[in-house]
Amino acid sequence: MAWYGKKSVDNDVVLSSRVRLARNVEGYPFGRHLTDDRARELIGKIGAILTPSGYEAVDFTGLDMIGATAYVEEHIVSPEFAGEKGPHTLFKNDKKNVYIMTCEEDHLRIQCITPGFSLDEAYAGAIEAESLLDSSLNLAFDEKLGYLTHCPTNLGTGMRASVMMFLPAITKFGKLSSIARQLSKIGLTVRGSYGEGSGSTGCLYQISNQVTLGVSEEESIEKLKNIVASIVDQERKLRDAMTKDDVWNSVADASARAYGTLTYARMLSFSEFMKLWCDVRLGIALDNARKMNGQPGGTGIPSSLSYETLDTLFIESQPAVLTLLSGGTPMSPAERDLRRADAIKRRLAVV
Amino acid sequence: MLCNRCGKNEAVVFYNENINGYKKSYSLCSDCARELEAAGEINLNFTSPFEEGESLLSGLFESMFGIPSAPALSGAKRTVKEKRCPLCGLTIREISEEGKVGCAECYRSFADELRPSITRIHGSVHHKGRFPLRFKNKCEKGNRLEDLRRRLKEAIKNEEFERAAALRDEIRNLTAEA
Repeated sequence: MAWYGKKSVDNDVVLSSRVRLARNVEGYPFGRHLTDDRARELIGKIGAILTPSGYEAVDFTGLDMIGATAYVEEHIVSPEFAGEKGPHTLFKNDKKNVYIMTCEEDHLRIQCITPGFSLDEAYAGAIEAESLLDSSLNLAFDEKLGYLTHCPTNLGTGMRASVMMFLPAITKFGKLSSIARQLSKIGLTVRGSYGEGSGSTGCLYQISNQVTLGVSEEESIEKLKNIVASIVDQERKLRDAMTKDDVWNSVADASARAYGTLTYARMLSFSEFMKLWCDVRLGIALDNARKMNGQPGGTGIPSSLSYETLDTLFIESQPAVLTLLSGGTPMSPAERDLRRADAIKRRLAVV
Repeated sequence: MLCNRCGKNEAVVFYNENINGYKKSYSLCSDCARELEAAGEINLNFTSPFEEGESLLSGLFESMFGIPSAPALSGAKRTVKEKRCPLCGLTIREISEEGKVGCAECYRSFADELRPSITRIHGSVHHKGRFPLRFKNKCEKGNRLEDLRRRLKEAIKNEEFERAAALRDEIRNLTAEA
């Protein structure tokens, strides 16, 4: 079990936090300028440091499409890394919160993923792993430019801190584009939930820092934390506005219907699942808000259905993870839809 | 779709030309395309209208990086030996076309050429934050000096000359250590 499925802070709005550090090693060219032999040599060097410290190596060159894509769906590696042709290896720690991609765009992409709104924890985890590598590798650095990266946009700290947020109310009220505009003015950005260039699946967004040079890691994280806190606030306020009886009735209806479909459907595509998932997650949030306000609630969804279970369901319903969990044999989309509905039904039956 | 010249083979070349309003349009198989090109009727050398390989992408990076791509450089460039990064062998032109450097050494080899673009991306060229262990002494000293200089400026501005003198001495001592 990775970052999902754990109890965490502010998880009615924030699913996970992540800090990623881009690092390179002196003397080795970057990206496609690095030959396969030298890439293997570099990965060997990195492995010699990480393996004794309890990291497990996953050689992606030996992984099939389904296996590699599953890591993308779990938000552990980038789609670029999964599609990389040359030697590339993922190292993961035994606590399953630090994941180090080697020979992606940069030689090292050190990331720590933690559940809920927990950027400090994620930063500490990434730094711990980086310090371990720094003690035995000549990390490429310049006093003026900071950590030297393949793409100049990552120079400086090489750090990307981000949070994955569930923002159905902000989306419904059409406030997202104005938030995105404001964020871009202060060096932050909003993306769909799979990183660069991807559209958003069902009300999930990733918010991260953009500028890396001239701003220290702590300053960057502090700024992101403040902004995320205010977005969490705004989302909750808008959700509160939705607890008024007339809106609430239609939300509760949509969410009860969605839960009904999830429990009884025989076939579910991932996109249909995501819509239902959003409705259920929002229904639970509003129900809690109404109870807090002393208003009568009740959606028909068992109160024991937690955000953690829902988030696990989200990860496990994606095509590649679902295929792996069902034994790894490739399935047709229709077979997958049957399997998905079945898995969800069984998971919800034990809630 | 069939070639609209011979009408026999599958068309693989779709050619549209518009020079000052004189339009030509063909869908050709590879044989016919080759014949027409040899006859000078069509021009399949994409680069020629724009001179020497300027692609849209490199134009994009040119504006992003502020580095002139090929055609903007002087005509004599082909004969002049271009500077190459000693580690990866890239030239500044190749870097600006890709939008990424080839290795860490590029940042040192082309420091002057890259500075404007880095400033444009980040609005700063002064790293603040973590550094590798082996830079500990250098960076800590650099940070301390920067801090002292800032405080010195402040002291002078506030006409606190005694404090300024003390700060100046401290800066002198620190720089003398090197």
